[in-house]
Amino acid sequence: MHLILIISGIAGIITALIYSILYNIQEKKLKERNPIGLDGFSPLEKSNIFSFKSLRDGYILFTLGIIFGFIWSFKTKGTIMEFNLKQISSIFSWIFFGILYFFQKKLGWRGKKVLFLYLIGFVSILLAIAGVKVF
Amino acid sequence: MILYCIGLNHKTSPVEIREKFAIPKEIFINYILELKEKGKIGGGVWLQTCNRSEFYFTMDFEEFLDIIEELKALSKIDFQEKEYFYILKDFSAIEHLFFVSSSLDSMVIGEPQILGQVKESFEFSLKNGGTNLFLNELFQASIRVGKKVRNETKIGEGAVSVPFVAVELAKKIYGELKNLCVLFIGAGEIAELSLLHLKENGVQKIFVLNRTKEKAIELANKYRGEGYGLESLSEFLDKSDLIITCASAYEPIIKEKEIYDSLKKRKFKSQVIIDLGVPQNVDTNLRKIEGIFLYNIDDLKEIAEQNKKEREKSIIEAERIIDEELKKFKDRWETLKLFPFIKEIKEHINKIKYEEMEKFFKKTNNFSFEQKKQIEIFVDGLLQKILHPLLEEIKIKKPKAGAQNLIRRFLGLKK
Repeated sequence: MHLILIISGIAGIITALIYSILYNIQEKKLKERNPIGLDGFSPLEKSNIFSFKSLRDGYILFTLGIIFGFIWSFKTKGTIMEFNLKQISSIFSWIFFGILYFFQKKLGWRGKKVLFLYLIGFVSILLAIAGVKVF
Repeated sequence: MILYCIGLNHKTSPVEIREKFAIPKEIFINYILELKEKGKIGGGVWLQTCNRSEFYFTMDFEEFLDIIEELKALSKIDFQEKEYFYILKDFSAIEHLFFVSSSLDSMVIGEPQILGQVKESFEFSLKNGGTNLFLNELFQASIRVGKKVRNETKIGEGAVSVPFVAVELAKKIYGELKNLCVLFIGAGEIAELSLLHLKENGVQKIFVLNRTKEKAIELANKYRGEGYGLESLSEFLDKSDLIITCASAYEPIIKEKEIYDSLKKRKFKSQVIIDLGVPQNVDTNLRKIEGIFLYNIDDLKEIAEQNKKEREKSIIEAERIIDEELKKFKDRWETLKLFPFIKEIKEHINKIKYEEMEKFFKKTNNFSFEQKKQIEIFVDGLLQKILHPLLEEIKIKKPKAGAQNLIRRFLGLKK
C-alpha cells in the first residue's frame, strides 16, 4: 500500500512537472508574440490548472504514502524514522512540494520560477528513489 | 438538360451593385417556384451572402436569356447588368460551385461561413420544392467537397484578420471564452468588430469605457454589455481577463503600476492586453511583467499575415482535391443527365405494353384476374430481358443528343 501510494504520488508530481514545462513553452511563445504553432497545445490557463491539480492530487497520495510508510516502519522495525537517505529525501520532498502547493494556491505562483522549483523537488524525489536502491 | 450559374461577387462588382441583388432566399424561392411551374426551369437554388449572389438552375434548352427576362419581370430587378454578372454553363458551373463551397472563391480564402451558407441555401430550396434530382446531387457533392477540403488541408486554420486574431489569441490563453470578462477602452471600428467576434464566440461579460460615457453606453448596449466613463478604469482592471484598447490618446492610458497592482489582486492569473491604439494606449514596459501578454496592432497584423501565407500554401492541395472530386463527379453527372432519356424509353415501352395487353385481353376474354397478372409478369420479364442490355449500354456509352435521337427512331419514340 505504501509503495502504491508513493508511486502514484510521484506520478502526479511528474505530471505536474510536464504541464509546467508545457506552460512555460506556451508562455514563451505568447510573450514573444509568436503564437503560431500552439494549435496542438491546450490553452495556457488550462496547462496551469492541470499542473496545479496534478500537484495537488499527487501530493495527497504522496502524503498518504508517507503515513503508511511510517506505520509499516513502526510495525516491522519498531521505529517510524530511520533517518536514511530515502526517508530524509522523502520528507524533504514532502515539505518542499507542500510549500510549493501553498505558494501556487495562495499567491498564484506560475511560470519559470515554479518550473525551477519543480525541478529541484524532482531531484529530491530522485534521491529518495536512489535511497530505496542503496538501502 | 443544362446547368447554369448566373451571379456576381466581390471580384466582379462593388458592394453598391451587390446590394441591389441581396434578395433574401425566402423571397427568391417564389421566383424559383414560379419558373418551375411555367416549365422554364427544372429547379433552382439561390445562394446569397454578403459577397455574392448566385442563381444555380437547370434548363432543357439553351435560351437562358429567357430566364433573365422572367427574373426581371418577377423581381423588378435588372439581372442583365452585363459587366458585373458572370454566366457559367454546365461543367464550369459545377467547378465554380466546388470552389465556392471550399472557400477558395471567398474574399478571405478559407473562411468558415461559406460552406454553411451553401448548405443552408440548398436545404431551403429543397425543403420548399425548388430543386430537382440534378441540383440535389450537385449541391450534396459540393458540400462533401467543401468538408473534405477543410478537413484535409490547413485552408481554414489561423485567423487572417485583426479582430479574428484577437479572438484566437484569447482562445489560446483561456480556451472557452464564455466565462471571460472583457474590457473595451474606446469605441473604434476594429474594437467593435472584435467585440462582435468575441460575442459570437460566447463572451458574456463585456465592459466598455470611453471618454464620452454616452458613447460607451451606446456601444455596450448593442452587445448587452455595460458602459462607463474612462474614469472608472481602475475598477475594472483586475476583473478583466482580456483588455482591448483603441482610444485616441497621446499618453498611455494603462500604466505599469496599475497593471501590476491589478495582477496581484488577480493572483497573477494571465491577462491579455490588445492595444489597437495609435499612438499606443498601453505602456510597453508591461511586456516584461509575468502573466501579462501585450500585443499591439502591428503584432496582430503580422500574425494575420503569417496565417494568410500558411493558408495560401494549402490552396494548391485544395485545388488538387477539387480536381479529383470533379473527375469523379463528371462521370456521375453525365450518367444523371441520361436519366430523363432512360425514363422516356421505359415509359414508351410500358405504354406499348399496356396498349397491346389491353387489345389482347379484349380479344381473348377467357383469362381470370390471376392469369392476367401472370401474363403481365411474363411480359415484364421479357421486356426487361430485351431492354436491359440497351439501357446498360446507354449508361456506359453516354450517347449525346444525336445518338439519343437515333435510338428514339429505332424504338419508334417521337421526341
